[in-house]
Amino acid sequence: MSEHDETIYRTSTGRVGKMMAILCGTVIVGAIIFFALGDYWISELSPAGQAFAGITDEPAAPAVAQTGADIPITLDFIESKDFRTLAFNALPGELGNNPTINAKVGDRIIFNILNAGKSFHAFGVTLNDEGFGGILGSSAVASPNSPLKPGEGGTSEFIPGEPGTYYYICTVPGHREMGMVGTIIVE
Amino acid sequence: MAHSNWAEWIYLGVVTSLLVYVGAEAWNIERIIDHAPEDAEIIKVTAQQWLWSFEHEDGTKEVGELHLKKDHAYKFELTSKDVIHNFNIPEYTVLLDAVPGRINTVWFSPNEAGEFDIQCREYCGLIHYNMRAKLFVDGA
Amino acid sequence: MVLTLAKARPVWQIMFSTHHTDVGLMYLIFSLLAMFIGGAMAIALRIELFAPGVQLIEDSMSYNRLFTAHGTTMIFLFLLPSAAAVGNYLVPIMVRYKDMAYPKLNAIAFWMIPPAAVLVWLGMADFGWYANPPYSVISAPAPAAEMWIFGLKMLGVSSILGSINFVVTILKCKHPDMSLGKVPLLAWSFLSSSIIVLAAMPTFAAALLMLLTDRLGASGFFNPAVGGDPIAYSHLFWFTFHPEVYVLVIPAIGMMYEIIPRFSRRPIFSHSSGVAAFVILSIVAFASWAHHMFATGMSFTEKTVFMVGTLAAVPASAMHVFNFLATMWNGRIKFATPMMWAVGGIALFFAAGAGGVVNTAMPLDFITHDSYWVVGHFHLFVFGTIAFGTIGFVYYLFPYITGRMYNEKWGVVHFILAFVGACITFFTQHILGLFGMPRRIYDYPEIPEWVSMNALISVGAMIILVGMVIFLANLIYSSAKGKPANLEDPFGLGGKYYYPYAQRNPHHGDGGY
Repeated sequence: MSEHDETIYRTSTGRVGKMMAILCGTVIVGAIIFFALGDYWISELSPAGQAFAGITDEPAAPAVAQTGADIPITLDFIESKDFRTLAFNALPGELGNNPTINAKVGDRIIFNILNAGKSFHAFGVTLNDEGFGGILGSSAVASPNSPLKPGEGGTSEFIPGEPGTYYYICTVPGHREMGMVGTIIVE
Repeated sequence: MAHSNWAEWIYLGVVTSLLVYVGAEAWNIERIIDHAPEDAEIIKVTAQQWLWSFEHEDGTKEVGELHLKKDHAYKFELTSKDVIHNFNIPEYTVLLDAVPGRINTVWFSPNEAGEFDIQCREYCGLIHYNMRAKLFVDGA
Repeated sequence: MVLTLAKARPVWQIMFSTHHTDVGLMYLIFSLLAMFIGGAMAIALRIELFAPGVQLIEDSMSYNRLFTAHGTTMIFLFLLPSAAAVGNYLVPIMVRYKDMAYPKLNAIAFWMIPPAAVLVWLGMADFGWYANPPYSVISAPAPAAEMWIFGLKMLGVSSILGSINFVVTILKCKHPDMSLGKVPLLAWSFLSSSIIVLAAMPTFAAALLMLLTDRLGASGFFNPAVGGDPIAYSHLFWFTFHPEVYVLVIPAIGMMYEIIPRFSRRPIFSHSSGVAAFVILSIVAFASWAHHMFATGMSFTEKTVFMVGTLAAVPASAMHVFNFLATMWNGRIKFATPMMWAVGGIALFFAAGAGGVVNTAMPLDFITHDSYWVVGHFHLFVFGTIAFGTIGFVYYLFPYITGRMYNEKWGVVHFILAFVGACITFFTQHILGLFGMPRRIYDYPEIPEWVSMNALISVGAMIILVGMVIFLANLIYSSAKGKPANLEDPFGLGGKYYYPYAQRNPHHGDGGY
């Protein structure tokens, strides 16, 4: 212990003020960066996650001459009260449930998607007859990791390049199995 | 130091005996309940984000609900399709992880009829908080 | 206490300094900042959980990111750095050496922490502070997850560097006249916790790297879709983090070993018991990790082994409790703020340990696993013991660091609010867990018991919040404008028990310890 004649103040108002300015300033700048970039931080899926979901880098459906015909369709995500059954537009058994879309190769199907439920949903078209992967081209609206909140919506389009049966689904894992799937029959 | 430590030794003795008792009792009870009875009916439970599906021995499938009979022994074979979930029926203390790539087993025998909650007890993402199902135990 | 200067030094000089008191001060300020940020996150969580439905947080993804950030912040950015702060400040003084063994490495270890915090806080990953696969590999969104992994890598390295410094300083740089058995208990606590870190942390560093390569698709350690085993991660993680919780608690107990004898105006009941308890705890800490994994489908034998390993660590902790109580017995206790925090901390430590014994009794774990019982249990440790010990010690060090006294009345108010709030919040969480409420859930159904208990818990959290706001105001105001402290005896204990290591207790024949 050292001897000293007068009390030594180790801090002063000025120093405490400077320290608070540095700390609070850094936190505020960080918060601005965080919120300004919004959902960027959670926007992607890891490569392993993409492999698991069957999302590949393959190009979208091959470019094909468009017929010029547009097929607009409105699809609302809806849920049963107990959240056990999910569907597009109407619950199973009701009119308009999961409408089937008929189209020809080259038609442009325009999807108007709305989340009319209380949970989170996302949209896409796939050839896979089960699961939530293999979403084609630019048909996706939102994604499982950045889904549509209740009331949110979006649009996308899909131009089938080959005939066959496609499925439009909610891409949130599990929702297809709970009823959010419909067919697109392309000739 | 010249402090007498007899009080400390007695205290440690008391603490250690309590712990030995707890350990022995826990070991004994776990030993008894660890093995499912031979005649337990097998229910395959599949967990996935974010729902439960069940398959009975006779092939009947149920999603989001499970119908069982009172006073029957059931053995659940748990697995998952994606991430780790945990199958939990709190009112019957059924609790075990459903791990993808392996099958875990847990058993119980419901002794009361009624409706019970099934919930997920391992964080599994966005809708973990609502990954619920209903257990219906028939009194027949 | 250490350097005495006629004029205050500029802030930038402190920031670039490698002297142990400056590094300790920076650790302290950073850790308190992290405590308040982590606390704000907790308050947001508790407001959301006040009732079923949306209160504050609109979607479950934000909630999930908040509880992950809360856990990560509190453990890695508050508790570990605050222990490092106390250690850096006092260990060299306690072993009568001029600085830490490697001062520049010391500063580097500190300065790794703010960038790591930036990574963690900007990304805000959502997989809980355990980062369990397969969720963290295939489901958790990027780049938040990678930022968390890199941030924790840096924090782990910082911890290891700090531990190397402590071990070498205590073992190799201590004064030649001081035998290891005479080293004060606070220094012993840093020796034990540092050795645990050196043995345990590399495992987690490996697990983090494996998690990263799994995420990138370059490996399949934990991803069952490519042949891996997710339970392997749990083993690696808990092999580090069960000993790590002892790393968190041991310095706080060391801090109580400073406060309690001093404010009881009696020497510690048994110094050698304290040393033995630290050593035993450090070893047995490694025998219990898989008690966190009882629900993963382990065999009966495995579960038994880890139950025994967990129970074996309890007597060592009990020795510390006995030591404290025996020291206070017949003492002339001065219940100043630091003493209140230390004694409250011991009471909650005991409660936390008792709850832990319930958890480790195998069949009972299947009631409590991943429920709010566990949340209440570990918060009694991290808040009730470690934060209480740390905050008490901050009050104790305050006059030495700032030269001024904090406001004692507000310190008492802070303690009462924190203690009452902690009891309401964390004991109720135990009961809520028994009623089956899982952890890490954004919302819950309208089960009447859950609704009423959650409301009560949120109220308790608000009580703690009020106390913490008072603490912050006290710290800031008193450090600038508090009454000048009598640096010979700031707490008015009188005579022989105030400032350590410069005075020796003449009543003890062997010269002081």
